[in-house]
Amino acid sequence: MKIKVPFKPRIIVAMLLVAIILNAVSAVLLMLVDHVVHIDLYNYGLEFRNEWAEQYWTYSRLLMSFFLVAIVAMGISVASTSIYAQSRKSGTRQATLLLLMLVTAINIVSMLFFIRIDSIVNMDLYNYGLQFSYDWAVPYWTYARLMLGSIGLAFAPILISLTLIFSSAYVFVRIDSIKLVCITMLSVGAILLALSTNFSSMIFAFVGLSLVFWGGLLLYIRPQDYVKKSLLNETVSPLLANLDKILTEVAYKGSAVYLPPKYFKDTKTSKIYMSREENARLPALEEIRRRENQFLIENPEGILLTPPGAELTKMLEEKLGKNFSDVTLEYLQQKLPEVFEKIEIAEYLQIKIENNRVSTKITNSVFKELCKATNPSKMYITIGCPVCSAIACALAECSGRPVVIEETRWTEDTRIIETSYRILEE
Amino acid sequence: MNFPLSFWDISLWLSFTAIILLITAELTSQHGGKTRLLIHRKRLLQATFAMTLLFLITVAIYVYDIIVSL
Repeated sequence: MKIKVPFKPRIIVAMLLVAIILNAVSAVLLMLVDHVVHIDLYNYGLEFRNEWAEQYWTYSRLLMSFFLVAIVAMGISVASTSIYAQSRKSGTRQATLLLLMLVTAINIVSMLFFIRIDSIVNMDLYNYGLQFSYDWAVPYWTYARLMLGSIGLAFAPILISLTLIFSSAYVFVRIDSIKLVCITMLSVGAILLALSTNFSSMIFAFVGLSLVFWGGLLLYIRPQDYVKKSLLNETVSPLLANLDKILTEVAYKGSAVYLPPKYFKDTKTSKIYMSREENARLPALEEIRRRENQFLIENPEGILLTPPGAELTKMLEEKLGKNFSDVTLEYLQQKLPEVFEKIEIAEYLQIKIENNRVSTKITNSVFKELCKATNPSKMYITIGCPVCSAIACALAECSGRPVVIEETRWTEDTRIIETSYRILEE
Repeated sequence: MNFPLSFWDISLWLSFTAIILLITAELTSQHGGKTRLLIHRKRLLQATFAMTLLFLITVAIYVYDIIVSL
């Protein structure tokens, strides 16, 4: 999920102005509370004593000072926001953020101070002769609640401004929704588990345990590197189409021969040789080694190409943890289907070996759409799709002999692809 | 301030979770399952086996308790 957060100075200034007004209202309400305490309460038996008055004055003056500081800080924030909108200097932005954080902290402390004043009025003053009456209590409660309410309300515009200024530094904010859900589940579960211990509640314990477990599990099993299959096909098909076009244009008649690593200096290399003339002999080992990094081969005339499945073969080797040139054909017959299923190239792979012929049956290959697209081109018939090509590379490496794709058949929906390979005698 | 779940409760919870995970793992398996589900199947299987093993351990502890108390 992506959220675009542009910088909106007008909204931030409007929010800050609302917060300034709310803080000013709080200051006025504090004065009204002070009026009730210092004038009205003496009519209901309150005796003046320094013990309560000094404490009350300290909190009251601090509270008033805090309101004034908060209003000034927000005024400066309005100015710095306007400057930031013009200049876009990060220093201004950071100063605004710090000021708003200071205002948030001041408002929290103000609430705590007022709660202390409230406890002096509602508890301590009864020790100094104060008599309860709704005549003073109702206006006092009204002013007190309105004041607390306006301080609380001021939090909302300040926090919105903070969020808008903070997130404006990033054009795009990327939220991993799965991770967010998992972390929420883990947090809620942990809180419920803690509460279950406190309240001895089995329901809280079961729900908490399950939330923690499933949150953790979802976080553990969520995918990381998956791409859509359509994206894969769209990316690979133009490359194969280009290769096909080149082969059609050069009009080489020979079949593609998958060469084993012994033909190259670098034994990790996988290449195919295609001759100009049909049924031409393979070039000598030295001839290919001498020209292994070139496209054209002279004796006999032909081309050297990197097959479409070369990298896939290396990946299969990596997954198996073995080099194909070190294993037998029987090992390949047994292990290759397992790897295919494991990395989900195809649903099912069956390999049959009869003397020098190897036949494969691939069910539901991820490249099956490519077969439809390239079918029945020269490239597809002799070189094969990336999966068939990878198998041919693996067979050449494993047997140490050249391999050709003799025939490829597929069902109408290309769900099943059957390919026959021949291991050539040298 | 005691944790409200007993050993038996945990064992029961483990059994339910293990069954749910086993069914999920089977439904999302490569052979005839819902293969297009984008999850780390190998890790799901690991978690399933871990939960099943934990449940079997609790069962073994119970069986041991019964044998000892005879």
